[in-house]
Amino acid sequence: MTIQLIDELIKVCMVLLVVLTALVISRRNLISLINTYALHSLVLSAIAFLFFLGEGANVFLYASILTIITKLWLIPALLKRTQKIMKIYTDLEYHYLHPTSSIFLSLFIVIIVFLAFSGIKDDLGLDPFNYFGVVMGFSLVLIGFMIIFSRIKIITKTIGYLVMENGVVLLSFFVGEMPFLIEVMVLMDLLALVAITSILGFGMNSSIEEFHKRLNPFRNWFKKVDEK
Amino acid sequence: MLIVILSVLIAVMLAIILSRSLNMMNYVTVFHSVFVALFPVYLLVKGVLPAVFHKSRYLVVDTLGAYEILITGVIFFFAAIYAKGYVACLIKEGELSKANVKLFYLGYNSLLLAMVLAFSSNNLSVLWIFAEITTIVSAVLIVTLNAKENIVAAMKYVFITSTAMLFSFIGLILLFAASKNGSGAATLNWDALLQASHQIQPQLLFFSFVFIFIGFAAKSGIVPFHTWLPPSHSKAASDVSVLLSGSVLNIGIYAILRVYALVAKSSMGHEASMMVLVFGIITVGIASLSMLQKTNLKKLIAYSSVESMGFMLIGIAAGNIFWVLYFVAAHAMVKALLFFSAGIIHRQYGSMSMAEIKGVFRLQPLAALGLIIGSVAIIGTPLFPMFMPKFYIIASLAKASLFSAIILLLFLLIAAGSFVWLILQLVTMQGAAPEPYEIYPSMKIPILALILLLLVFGAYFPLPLSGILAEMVSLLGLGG
Repeated sequence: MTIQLIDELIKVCMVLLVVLTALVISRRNLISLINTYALHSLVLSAIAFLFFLGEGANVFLYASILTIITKLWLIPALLKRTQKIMKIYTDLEYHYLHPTSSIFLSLFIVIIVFLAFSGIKDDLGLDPFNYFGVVMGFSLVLIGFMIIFSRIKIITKTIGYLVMENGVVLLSFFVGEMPFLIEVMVLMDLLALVAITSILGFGMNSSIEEFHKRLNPFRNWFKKVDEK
Repeated sequence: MLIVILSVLIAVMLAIILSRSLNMMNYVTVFHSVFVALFPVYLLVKGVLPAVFHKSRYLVVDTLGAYEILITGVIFFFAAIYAKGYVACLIKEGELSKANVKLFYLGYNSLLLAMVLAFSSNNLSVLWIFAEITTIVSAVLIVTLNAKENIVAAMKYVFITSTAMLFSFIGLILLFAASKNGSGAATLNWDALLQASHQIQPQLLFFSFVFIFIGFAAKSGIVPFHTWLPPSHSKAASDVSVLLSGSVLNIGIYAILRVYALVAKSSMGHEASMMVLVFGIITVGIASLSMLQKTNLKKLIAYSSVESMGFMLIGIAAGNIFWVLYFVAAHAMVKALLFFSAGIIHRQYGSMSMAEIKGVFRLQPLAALGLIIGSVAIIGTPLFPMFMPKFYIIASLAKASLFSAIILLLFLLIAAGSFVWLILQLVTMQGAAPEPYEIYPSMKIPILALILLLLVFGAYFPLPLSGILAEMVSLLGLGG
């Protein structure tokens, strides 16, 4: 595959990301929202893989595999389980912004980021292709942040955080081989998992005992602790 | 040396996992804290600072890192001693289930380990990773208590700080790109960045600093990212509150200070200093005003931590790093004293409401003394260690901007008023009260030791400490 073709494919993936982000903003059905997020992550994984083909750096391959494992399988599966147990099917509650106004605000965010980064793109050593990627990555972060603020349900807020995370990872791809990117990705996913697990434990039946059973995986490993 | 340290740490974790007894877990934790506290002392005495652990220079303990590790070790040591009796009380009262004790001690030791590694991180990405690990482990420690509000508080903590920390990581990405384009050496190693900072484009450096500041300010409870701090610190078990307030909050200020050192000497240094000053003053202002309305003892102390973090930012902006660093140690000691005492008050009254604390001198005289000395110390009374840093930082600010110094003084007076009110409540509130709650001696020892330490450091400023503080200022390149 030639470098030019890879660059074109990455551009196509970025357009897909824009469309999927708009869908994440507008989805009210939670299952559909989770599936859209999973697709969003699949595209991110494809971008990482294309970077690996283009630049040959292993970090992109690891990022692609990690994205598939955590963002395409583990996190969506846990989110779906949470949604099923909590019996919430739609999220119609919003702070300040409704889906239509959120989409308009997102467009505004992309334009502002484009203009803001135009002043420093030379200092960052970005060519037009990488500049486009950085703008998209940063816009995703802000759009994820907007989702956190505009949605009320914690499960949807978590998806906002995950979109932000995808934005940060995308941004780092276009800036270069960021040190410790994989470790950082693992940690960000871990934080998301902690949040989702807490929702799961807290939302099941609001029973604290139930939560502690989930919290303490060592309960069955060790016998009772003596006080002395 | 790295092998020895890692061996000890693995042994500690294994000992906790395999331990069947509460006492055993506690002794291992005390040993771990002593080891951590002695580690920087050893490096300092041997004169091997900065200690480089790997040729990549990802982990380097310099004087500033060693100083922060020492503070962390001492605070964890006191908290570990306190925990011996406190955990037993929590179990007795049904606030902590026996099944969660192991998780509590594992969390405790993991937090200590993550803190040490964070302060040993020369690479800013590594620092970010360990700072985030402290968030996860702290949240686990908060939720080990059997209370639903603790889960909400911990979730708020994880959510707010992690979201803000994503912005910090963007700052690091930009800083990495800037270092590649400016100096040609793509790195996030702090010492290399400090050397190359003059080659990095100043606007870009400032831009990175703003993003990095957002995340680490949230870690330190700086306004407007502070909303997680009062519920987390007040709902957590008192010895966990000590760790969070006296130690974990320091990571944020530490990281801000490191990155501020990179930008301060550039042509954007003034803008960075103005930004830090504005955040500092707003933080002190909001915290002081919030303290006025507080009737919950631990919430009052938690808001005081927000105020102290804001004050540290002001000290950084005023360029008085020497006294900021001294303030960090003094603040850790005072907060530990206040939270330890509050822990005993909670055992006695089963509540943190100040209106219910009656006849405390008859029931819990040591806790009452601890609260009064802690309150007197935290407001910056002369002959206590927080007086000198407060005095010199305000003086430095007055030199730069008299108006800002007057505003700051006003806010500090309001904050002091809240603690004076607390002292008056403690002294004057009498009434029919229950019998004294039996407090374990291990809960009294840290309070007595901290009172003694505060009196000693208030009356005497050791000369070697002055040399160490000056060395740290010089290391950061922020002297003069």
